Order: sequence, then C-alpha cells, then structure tokens
Amino acid sequence: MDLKKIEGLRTIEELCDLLRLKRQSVLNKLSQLKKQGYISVSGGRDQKRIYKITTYKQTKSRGMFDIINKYSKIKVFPSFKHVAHGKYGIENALIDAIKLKNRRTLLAALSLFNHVRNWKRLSLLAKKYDIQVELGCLYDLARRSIKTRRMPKNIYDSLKSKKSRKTIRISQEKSDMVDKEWNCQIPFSRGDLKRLKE
Amino acid sequence: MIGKQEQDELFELVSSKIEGDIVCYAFGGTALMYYGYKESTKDIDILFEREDDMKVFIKAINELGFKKRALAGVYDQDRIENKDKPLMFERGDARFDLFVKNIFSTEFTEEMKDRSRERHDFTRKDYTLTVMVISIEDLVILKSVTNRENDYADIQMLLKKSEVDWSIIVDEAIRQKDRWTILDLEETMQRLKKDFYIPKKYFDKLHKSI
Repeated sequence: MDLKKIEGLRTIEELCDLLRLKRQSVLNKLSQLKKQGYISVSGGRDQKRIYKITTYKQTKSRGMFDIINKYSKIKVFPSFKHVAHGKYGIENALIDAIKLKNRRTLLAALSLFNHVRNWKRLSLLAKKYDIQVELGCLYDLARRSIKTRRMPKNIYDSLKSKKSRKTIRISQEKSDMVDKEWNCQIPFSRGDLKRLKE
Repeated sequence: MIGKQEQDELFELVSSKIEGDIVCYAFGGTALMYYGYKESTKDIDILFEREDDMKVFIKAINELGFKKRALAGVYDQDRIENKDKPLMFERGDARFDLFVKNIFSTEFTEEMKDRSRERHDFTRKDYTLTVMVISIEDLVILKSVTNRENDYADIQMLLKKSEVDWSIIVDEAIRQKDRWTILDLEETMQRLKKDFYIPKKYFDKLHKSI
C-alpha cells in the first residue's frame, strides 16, 4: 500500500474513500500496518478512532517534548524529534526547554517545577550550561502563577548569586516585561500564565 | 551489518566511556535507520564539528575494542586521496566512519545543522553523547555526492516514502564551495527525472549557478 497517499491523521471513513475499499478490507490493511509499526491509534470506546499514519516506523520515544506534554496543560508540538536513551528525567527536560529558548515550550515547561524531585541535579545541570539565572527567574515566575514544589533555600540562593547586570533574554522573542529581581526579560503575558492554570 | 537497536545500544555504551559531552551528526545509513527507512546498515556514518570531540569519541571506542582500519576496499582511490576522508574503526560487524567538518569535499554548513530533524541523547553515566540526525534533503545531497549504486537506490527510496523540498536541496548545493556538488546533484536529478516529477525551474537554477 502506498503510505504516502494515506499519510496523516485519518478516520476509517476517510480511508475507505481514499483507498476505494470496503470498511472491513481497510481494517484488515490497517491491522497489518499497525503490526509493522506504521500506524498508531487514538480514541476508541465513545470516541472516534483516529489513525496516525506515517511513512516511517513509529517508535515510543521518551524525550523533552514527551515529558513536557505529560505534565503540562499547555501542549507543545515538537519542532524536532527528541529521543533520550538512558538517564533522562524531568530535570533534564526543564533544562533542555530553557536551552531551546522557544516561548511556548518554556511556558509549558513551567509546569515541570511541580514535579522536580532532584533539585541538586537541576542546579548542577543549570550550572553546566550556564543558565542559572534563567532557571531561577522561571522558578519564581512559576511559583507566582501555578502550584510548584519549593526549591531548597541553599539552591535558590546559589542561583540568585549568579544574577548579572546585563539583562538576560530567556526566549528568542524580545519582550518589554523585565523581572527586576533576576534582571531577565519575561516572554509571557498575564494571559499566557493564566492559561497554565486553566 | 548493524540494526537500529544494536546501534542505539552501541551509542549508549560509548556514552558510558566518553569524558565530556559530545555532539555529532548522523548521516547515511545511520540516518535512514533513525527515519525508519532502513533495517540495518554496513557502517555508522558520523560527522563531528570539532576535532576534539572526535578525539574523545575515538578514545571511547578504542576502549570498547574498535581498531583503526584502512580505507582501501571500501572507498575508491579518489576518495582515499581526498583531504576530508573519514577515519574508519571496526570491531566485528560494526564499523564507524568518522568525519570532521566536511564529508569528502562537501561542506557541512550551518544551514544543514539547523535543518537536523531528530536529536538522540545517550547518557549512561556522567556525560551525554548527542546524535543529531540530518534532514532528508541533506541526505539526498550527500548521497548524490557519494554516488555509489546503493546510494542512488537509497535516494529513490527516500523520494518514494517522503516529501522532499527540492528548493532546499538545490539552494544547498549552490551554497557549497565545491562545484562538483552541483554537477553530481544535477546528474542524479537527471536520472531521477525518469521516475519522479522534478520541476524544470530547479534544473534551470542549477544550470545558471555553474
């Protein structure tokens, strides 16, 4: 079967039309392709089944976007495929999101502050990539806006000690809003932060 | 031959031996496996931006028993004499072809870097080995340049299975300092024209640039 022709998100009716086959024949073909890894299905029971068909084999990945989308109410469409093999947790995902400097990814990643378990690891990673001020600023922002876990005081203080005179831009986009505590440009509006709570 | 799972396990093992974070770029059969278009590959093609990163990588694979081997028998004489030839390391069925900055005469540009579509992080101990997978368009260029029979078959397979943006391919070939890249690409496109639709404007653009 030409997968390119049916690639994308499809319902069974659409596939019947596209392939000009009966419903049962399409289901048989879909079952075959699912076994080969080209199809994943969402929905079922009360919801309509939607088939995600790709020309490449779909693998279950565990990367930054998967972790963010698992914990955040705001979902992010991956700008690239990220797969982590071996040690990779919430702390790594948060640091990677800060390094990416994408506004929406950062906004969604704020929710991860409520799931951080290893603050020491988080601060070491921030030190490694020299993004301690950005981390501290986003933590304060998350703490003011949504439910988060409390960062140990010694770690918070060590982040604060890295505050510089130069205003740091957290995201690629320019912003007029500056957090004076951290001297960082904040790329979110009040409306953005409100959406995190909803 | 090495399969995707074995390749991932190997990268994870290498990550346990490296002494510093490394970023490298996968192309050739390795990239095709990551896209799910190939089940196995003869060699793991990797490019490093920095020579220091390659040294760290080589030290790690030496610890795993990989030994340096000669290029003869794998690449033709022209490529063996090329200044941007790879270093090859082998252990049993697995072989690494390691390049720095350029792949033979083709320059790995900033645009190619930015177009990378996948990122795989391997962390078993303290350091991370990041493998970026280059875009399908760049794979078409590199496979046109290497121009072996298998490479042409791979390009055909890529065009059958995925959408490629010819403007990216043509622009990148023109951006290359080495004029042979344009000539090799044009030759490949002429062959592909029999089976695939490639708008004439892309041929015109290539012809004008020569």
